[in-house]
Amino acid sequence: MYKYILANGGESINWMAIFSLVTFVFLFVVSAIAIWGRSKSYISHMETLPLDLDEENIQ
Amino acid sequence: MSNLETFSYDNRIVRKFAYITAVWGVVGMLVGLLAAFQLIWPSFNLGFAETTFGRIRPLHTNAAIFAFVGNGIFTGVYYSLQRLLKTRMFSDTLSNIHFWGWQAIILAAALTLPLGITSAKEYAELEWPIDLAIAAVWVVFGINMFGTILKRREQHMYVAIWFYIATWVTVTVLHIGNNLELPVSLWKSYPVFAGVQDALVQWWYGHNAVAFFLTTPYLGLMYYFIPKAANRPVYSYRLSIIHFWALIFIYIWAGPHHLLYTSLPDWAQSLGMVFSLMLIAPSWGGMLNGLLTLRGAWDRVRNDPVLKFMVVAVTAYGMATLEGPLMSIKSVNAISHYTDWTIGHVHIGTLGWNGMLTFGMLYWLFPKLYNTKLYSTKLANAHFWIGTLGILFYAIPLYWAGWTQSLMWKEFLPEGILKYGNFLETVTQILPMYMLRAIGGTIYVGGVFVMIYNLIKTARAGEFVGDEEVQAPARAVAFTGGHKGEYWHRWIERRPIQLLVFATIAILIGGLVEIFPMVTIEDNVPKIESVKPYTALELEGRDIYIREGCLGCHSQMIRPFRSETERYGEYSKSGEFIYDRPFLWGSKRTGPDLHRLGGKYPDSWHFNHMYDPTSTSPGSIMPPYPWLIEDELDLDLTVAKLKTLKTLGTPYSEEEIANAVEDARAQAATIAESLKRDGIEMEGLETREIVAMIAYLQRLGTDIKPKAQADAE
Repeated sequence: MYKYILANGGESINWMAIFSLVTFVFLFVVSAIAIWGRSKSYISHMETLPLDLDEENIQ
Repeated sequence: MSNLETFSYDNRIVRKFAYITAVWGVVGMLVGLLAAFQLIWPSFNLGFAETTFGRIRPLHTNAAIFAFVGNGIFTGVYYSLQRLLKTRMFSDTLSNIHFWGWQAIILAAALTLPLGITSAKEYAELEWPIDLAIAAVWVVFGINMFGTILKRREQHMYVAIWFYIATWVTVTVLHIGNNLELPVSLWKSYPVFAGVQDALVQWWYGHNAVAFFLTTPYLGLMYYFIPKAANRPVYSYRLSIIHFWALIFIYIWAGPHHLLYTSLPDWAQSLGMVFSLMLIAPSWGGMLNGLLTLRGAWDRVRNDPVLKFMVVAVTAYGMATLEGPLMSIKSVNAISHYTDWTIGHVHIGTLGWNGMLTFGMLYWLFPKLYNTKLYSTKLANAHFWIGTLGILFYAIPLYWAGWTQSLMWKEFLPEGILKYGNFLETVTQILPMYMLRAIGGTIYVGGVFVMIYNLIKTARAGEFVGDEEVQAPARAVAFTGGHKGEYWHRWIERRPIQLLVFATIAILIGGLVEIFPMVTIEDNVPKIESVKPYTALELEGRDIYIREGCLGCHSQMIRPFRSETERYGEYSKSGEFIYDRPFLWGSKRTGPDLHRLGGKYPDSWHFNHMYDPTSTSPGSIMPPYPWLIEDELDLDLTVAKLKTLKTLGTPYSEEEIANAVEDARAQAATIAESLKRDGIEMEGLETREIVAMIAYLQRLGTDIKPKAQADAE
């Protein structure tokens, strides 16, 4: 099998497509891990930022 | 309360950008409408060089993207950034330099593009002095934006701001990358890259102009204005994080989907296709986040026109970001490329996503800025329905036209010959669809006028607050220090520079992987011995082709399909384009492909065709170019052009450069003689621009003429 890959892999295996798939999977896994670790209170603070104290400006 | 600071938000700059967004919106759309009418009734070209379709089309695209959407971005950014960070903009002076500088650039575009001063790179047509001005103004915007971020009172940066940061850095990289050019004169330059490499760099830029000018900043605006309008937080902040990073990383790779089945190497095409498909995930992440923010509030959408506009905008975004990836599949692209389907797709995005979100934002903003209610909710609702109808009338006929034309191009008779061998048949067949599209555009613009009336009445009824005074906790109090074990993404959100650096790395990867091998590995563009540089006269003809915007209707890239090789000749090889600066592969076939035009028709055919296209092609919608016959060919820059191209790598000899003008005149005389033999006689014909154009057109695709044919000639 290795002989085949070494001899023909350059032409017959779409390395770029494989690379792109691996990149995609890696990116998503890293992002998903990063996101699952967030605290709820932090998330709730961030998501309400646009709604904070805009209309009730103290003149 | 003693730690509260009093400061004010700058609403003046927001108002300036808001007004000018509406103004340029109308201008850009009316230019588009003119272009639409020109495709149905060529008399709308008005007989002037400056108003022909080829010059008007880039004026429309630049106005719509940079004038309308650009000012819309700045409106939203200047409003939201201050409030999300609880601080005034870093510098009022920079804000105003940014505003006036941007408008000056737009005016420069409005002057130069109709004059034919163009680099022929789509959405980057503006020549090098204006490119420098864009860079300067963009830097001013960047300093102002980052200065504001650094002096913020709110420690954490909301997701909208990451989108603004990613926008800023990526547009910087794209603008520099696609505008690497060597000037010949004040208004003419040649790109550093040629042929296939130029094509790849152009569409790395072009698709990411869509990504990072039409999409990411508007996603930022979506993440601010939809929660504000609905008065509820975004559906999932976690989703916004994951789709941000995925989007900015993946989008960059998608450029080659504009070059499928061209002579771009297969590995690059595959990357473009696969990454475009992967892009569905983060794009729909954004769409879902926007729409689901309204869960439980759909009854408000029924009554609130602002929310209506935003819902249609986000839906159109979802539609376009599904359609785009599907069109990036090679087998689908084999049908859609060069057709009006692409135009339909573009306008779902621009009219639907950008247009409707801009309108929603303006309808929400004006009452806030003027401290009053919207003048007429009824009119706003009417605009909503008018705009939505306009989009449907625009896009659906173009899908119909695209499929019709594509299928007609590909149809063979049982005998094995093309059923519609005359390209013109495929054009006249779709004119009714063009008429419907023009109606759609008219309806859409009509809606914008309704909006402008409503906004002006709103402004008049209210009182503008130029400096909106607010209070917020002081920076020293608001900023808490970092703590051990803090999660890395929270750390990034507190540190704008690190976010900038990581975003820059994310967006550079795709470009480097795709472009670097194309530029450095020679095998990617196999050389062809017989391909030679253009002669001086052919080069001047090529520059006239660029000036007149022929690229807007004619492609120069024959794909390896039997339907194309039967119609046009041998499919295009990458090695044929190594001296093409800029590349002129084109994106649309309103007229036929020209890559193998050389030698197909006699010189006199080209003369008659340029003078009056209907004389050789009855029913043609191509505008006439009589000024090519009337105007003298200017050879003042010819030597400088050859010298510049030699510097960039085209192998002109010193002798060729020294004799350029003489050689051009000699070749022109030969063509004039040939015209005379066919009965076209005119005083001084050999000094007119038409001979240069004929020289160029007759050269196209002849470098690899089969030997038997070459011998016969």
